[in-house]
Amino acid sequence: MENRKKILIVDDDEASIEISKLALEDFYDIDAAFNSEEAMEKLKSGHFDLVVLDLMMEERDSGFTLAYAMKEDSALKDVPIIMLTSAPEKTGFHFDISTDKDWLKVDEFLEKPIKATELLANVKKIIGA
Amino acid sequence: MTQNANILVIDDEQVICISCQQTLEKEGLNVDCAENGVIGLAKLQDKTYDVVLTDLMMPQISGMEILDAIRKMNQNIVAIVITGYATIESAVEAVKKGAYDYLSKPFTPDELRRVVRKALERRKLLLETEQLRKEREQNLLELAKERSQTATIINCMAEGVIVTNREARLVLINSLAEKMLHIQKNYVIGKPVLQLLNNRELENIIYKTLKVKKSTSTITRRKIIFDKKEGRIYQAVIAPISDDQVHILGLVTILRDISQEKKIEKTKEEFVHTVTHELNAPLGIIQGYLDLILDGKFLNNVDKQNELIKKSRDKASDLTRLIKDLLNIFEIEAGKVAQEMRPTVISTILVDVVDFMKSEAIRKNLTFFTQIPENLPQVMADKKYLNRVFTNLIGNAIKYNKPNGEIKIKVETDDLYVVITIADTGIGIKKQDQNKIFEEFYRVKNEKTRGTPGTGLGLSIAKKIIESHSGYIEMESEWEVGTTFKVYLPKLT
Repeated sequence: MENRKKILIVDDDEASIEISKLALEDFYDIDAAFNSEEAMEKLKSGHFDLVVLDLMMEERDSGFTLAYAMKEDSALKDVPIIMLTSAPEKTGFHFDISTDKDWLKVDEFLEKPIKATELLANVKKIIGA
Repeated sequence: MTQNANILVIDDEQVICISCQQTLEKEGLNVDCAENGVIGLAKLQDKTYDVVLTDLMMPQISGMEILDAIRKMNQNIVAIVITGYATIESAVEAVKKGAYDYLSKPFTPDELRRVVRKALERRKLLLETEQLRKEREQNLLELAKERSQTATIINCMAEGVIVTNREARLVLINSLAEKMLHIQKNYVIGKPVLQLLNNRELENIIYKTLKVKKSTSTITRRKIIFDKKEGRIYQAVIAPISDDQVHILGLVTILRDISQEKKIEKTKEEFVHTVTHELNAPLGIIQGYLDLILDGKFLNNVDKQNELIKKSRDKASDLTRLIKDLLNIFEIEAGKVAQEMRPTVISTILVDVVDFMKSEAIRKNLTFFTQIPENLPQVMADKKYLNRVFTNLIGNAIKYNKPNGEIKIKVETDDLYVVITIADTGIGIKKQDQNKIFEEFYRVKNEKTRGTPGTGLGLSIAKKIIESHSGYIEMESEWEVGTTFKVYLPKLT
């Protein structure tokens, strides 16, 4: 299991992290962060192959902030991001990867609630097993 | 001849008086006689005459002086002079003095009847004219009064009013409309509204409405306009003024400030979105756990399966609690709190709550210190709801306390209030979160609060209930030291 790929899960909800972790841990090494700040520290101190990022965290700390910060960092700009969003229920706003990819700078959107199989399939699609 | 008309004959020759009287009374007229000017003037003071016939040449007071007096009376009396000297001069002078006609002595009864008939017609005309003049004056007065009334009413309206004519020139604008659109009145009346109303959208819709086809000239248009400078929202209602429902004469535009309504609407919308999110989040987690189990990943790991099932059940309980709290908020906002108010000694409620929560505190090894004096003044209280307040506050003091911490409960009184202090030695609240903790669904999220269950509604419920009791709540907190809540309830005097 030496060369298993590493995934960082960023979410402010513990249970959400647990579900994502359980969905992915059979194939990947998982680390978690509760906010953008903590996530950035982890991303800078270690190598990650993909980030699973919750869009709606605390005020002043949306997933956008982290996604943009990553894309502006030369070392992190190529790390794929899967964004989890519960935006429609809170804002009535639906994102679509085909139309919003350019400005949202993420590789895939998945709407919450998280479906373990769906998340795993998308991660596999992007970085392989 | 006009029946019952009053005629006065002033002549010092008795024969003339009597013959006039006899002739005219046969015509159904009332005729008085005066044998000189003095008596004649006295009679004029006493009675209203329609026609006066007066001799010019009389001792004491002459006919000319009588004419002056009649004119000054200003009663539309028609004067006829009787003169023995049928000279042009005296007739002209008499007419200048206001006489309508003259009779030269001697005159026949026919001449008299003809002259008096003409005079009576004149009198009738004068009276009618006078009546019309009076009516017109009255109308003008009423019109002027009505105009100033309307102007005052329009100026005092709580809506902005703008009237434009069919060329889109400004006819009328009230003070509020000027204020709303930032217009200086002195320069605007009579000018086209283009670039005058400081609002392009409003100007455009006025022009558009004026251009409509006749058949749609009665349609009222509505438009929401924004005053970005003042951050206000107005609804403009533009209605055509038409004489016969066909031709537009102009437009009346009413501006209503709907900023407050919009704000309430927005708050409600946000609340609904937040509630939806808060209800959906735990459901999503439950689905996530159940999906993991159904995926069959843990078929050989019963412990893990049971753990996930238990977590799902806990989330379902959270959801139930949340719904209960929400219903509570709706109840409070519907004014249910004030319905069961009774004079109450607050210690009875506090002792109940502390007893109920003791076991929970012991489990965390927390110590209660209570300082509740006897003979406390009563407060008006809804027991059920105040119980809820103290359960929430003491519940927080337990939930967010440190192991082996303390909870102090103290009751004091000041001039107006019974003051209940609940202090903990817990994690405290950071400065940036302090002004938000009474907001609905606001939960402090940091490494210390992670994993502590809660709906984010407890404090907002507490605050609402206390405010329904005409009281207020204060909070002081220091990060990593502890938090103190003070509840002020008005003393019953």
